[in-house]
Amino acid sequence: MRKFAIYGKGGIGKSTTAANISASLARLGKKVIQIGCDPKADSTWNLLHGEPVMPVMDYYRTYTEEPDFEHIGKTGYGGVFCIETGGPTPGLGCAGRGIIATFDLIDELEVFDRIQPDVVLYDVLGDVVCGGFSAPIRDGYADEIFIVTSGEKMALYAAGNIIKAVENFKDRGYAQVRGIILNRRNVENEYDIVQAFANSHNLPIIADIPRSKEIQYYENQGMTVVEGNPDLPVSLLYQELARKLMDTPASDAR
Amino acid sequence: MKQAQRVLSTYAVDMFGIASALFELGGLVVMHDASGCNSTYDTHDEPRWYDTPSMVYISGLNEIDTIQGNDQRLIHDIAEVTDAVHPAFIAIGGSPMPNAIGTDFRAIEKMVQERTGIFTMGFRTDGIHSYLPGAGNAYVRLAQHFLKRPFRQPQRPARRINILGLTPLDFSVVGNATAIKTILTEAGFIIQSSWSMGDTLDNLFEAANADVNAVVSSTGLYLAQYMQEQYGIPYVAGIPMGKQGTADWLQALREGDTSYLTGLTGREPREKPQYALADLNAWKTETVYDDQPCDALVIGEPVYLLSMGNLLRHELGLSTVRLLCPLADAPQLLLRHIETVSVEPVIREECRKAQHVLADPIYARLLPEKQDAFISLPHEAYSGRHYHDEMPVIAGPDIADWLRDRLK
Repeated sequence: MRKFAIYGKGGIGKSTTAANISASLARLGKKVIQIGCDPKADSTWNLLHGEPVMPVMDYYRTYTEEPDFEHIGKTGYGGVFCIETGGPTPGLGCAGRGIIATFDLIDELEVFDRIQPDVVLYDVLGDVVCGGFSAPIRDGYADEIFIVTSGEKMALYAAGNIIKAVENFKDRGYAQVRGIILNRRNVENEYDIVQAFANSHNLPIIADIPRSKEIQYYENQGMTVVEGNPDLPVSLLYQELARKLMDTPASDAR
Repeated sequence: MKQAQRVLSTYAVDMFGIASALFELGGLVVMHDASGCNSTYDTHDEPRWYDTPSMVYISGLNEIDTIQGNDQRLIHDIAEVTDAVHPAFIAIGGSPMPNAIGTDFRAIEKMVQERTGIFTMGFRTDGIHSYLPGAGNAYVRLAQHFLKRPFRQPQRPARRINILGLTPLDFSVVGNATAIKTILTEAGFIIQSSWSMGDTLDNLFEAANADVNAVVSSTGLYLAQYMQEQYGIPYVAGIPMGKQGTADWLQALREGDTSYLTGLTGREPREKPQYALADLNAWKTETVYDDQPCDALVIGEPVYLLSMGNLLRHELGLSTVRLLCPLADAPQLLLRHIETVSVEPVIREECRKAQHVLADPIYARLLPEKQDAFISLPHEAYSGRHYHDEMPVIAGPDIADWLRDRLK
């Protein structure tokens, strides 16, 4: 079982990337679980055709008890099992603790044992802002981290912070950063800027996703572009990225 | 406000279960908390504190370290203490605040072990769950690391026996541990190990050579299931109570009969204490049961309840006996014939329906007008040292006569 975590600045396209990777892996015949770790709970929308799964924290809030296996997630496009941690009411509570509680429940319900996935993909909010948001890369969860960034200054700054946080965790046995996914925003000399950033951290750019109207078009229809039209150039790039993730041994982290 | 306890107490928490289980084994036990836990545990729930050397410490977590998530001071302090006291192992667990900020005890475990070179266990406790999964988890982690491979297979009839789940939280220090061991040895059993009163860590390493495990409290069930799975050692849950109850218990042990009192087969999937510790709703059990009056209501820990229920029904002739466990995070396997209620008004109503209530004396506060109905059976994990003088020895034949006098 491969376990990947996708990090990056808020709004940079992590969920779009994660959902398209999941859809691509499903097309390769892989059994995938995607876990959205964001109070917005929008990671898996485009795998579920506009019928989202009830986030775990919403379930607790509504029913004052934990969901069982039948209610913790929902099967979406290509058999991808979708889970959303969700979070507390905005402005209240502790979203990070909600992620930890959801992971405890995933363990307790033996979700991985029951589904036997080939890949688990964690899509994590913005930055490693507290202990809860490092939970996906703690020992036993994701093994490999990928950072989504554009050539924009703030996106690279956030990416640098994530790398720094992970380096701080090196004696804790946490997952390691394996590469950069460039999600273009049409910044001038964007590839060169991101390449320089990646080089300075000794990381590869493993995908270069162009800005694409087709992504938005299919998302408006509640699906990933990979599902909507797998033969489009951008869809082929996601599928190539998915293949690359699977083909690269986990030990080639750096 | 349903969860508010107005007159009742709370049970010893998860971290106290860990400290109690490991108390005599030569390990360093660190409670990660601002303060208070250590002294509460030591003065109320740990009667051995006054006359037995131990290594239970508090970390002294402060506000800025909490905000910063600074685990380094904890790790440094543990390393410093370790250099001074040379423990056999290290156990670290949390209280509500480390739990709230998601402290990664697994990472702390790794870093402490790397720094000290000593086997370390990190526990995700929160000071909210009960001692049952806490102690249970400590036993399993200890066994997973230290148990030596057995050099013999479990035999029938069984002779070599482990006692699992023996801590003062359920048996105090009034003679129960000695009584259980005496009953076993006089019946021809050889005590392989005792988890964990009156034994050494070195001796516990050999526990896999036993023929049978005697689970005397729920804290031992998790380890019993682990040893059943790993080494095929059967387990029997129960406390010897009354003449017939003691004889039946001994016979069940000889035969390795797991169904005794519990109806279990021994092939049930393992219950994992870490799941009980992570359950967010552990204390919300408020089911209301039937309104039928009963001869006796017994309140307490599940293995004790099953044993006491057996004694009351079969040796003392009570026809309707109800068993009530307020510890909602007890092993579910043991709760099949036990009602679980942890909400004070509901427990009060259950007590009202009973002619006799056998419980820790704190429960008598629920019905001041019905004091005569309550028979005081103090439970260390509930009222601490407060009622030591009233504690009878519950293990052995004599408890039947003690109860007979009070049920008149």
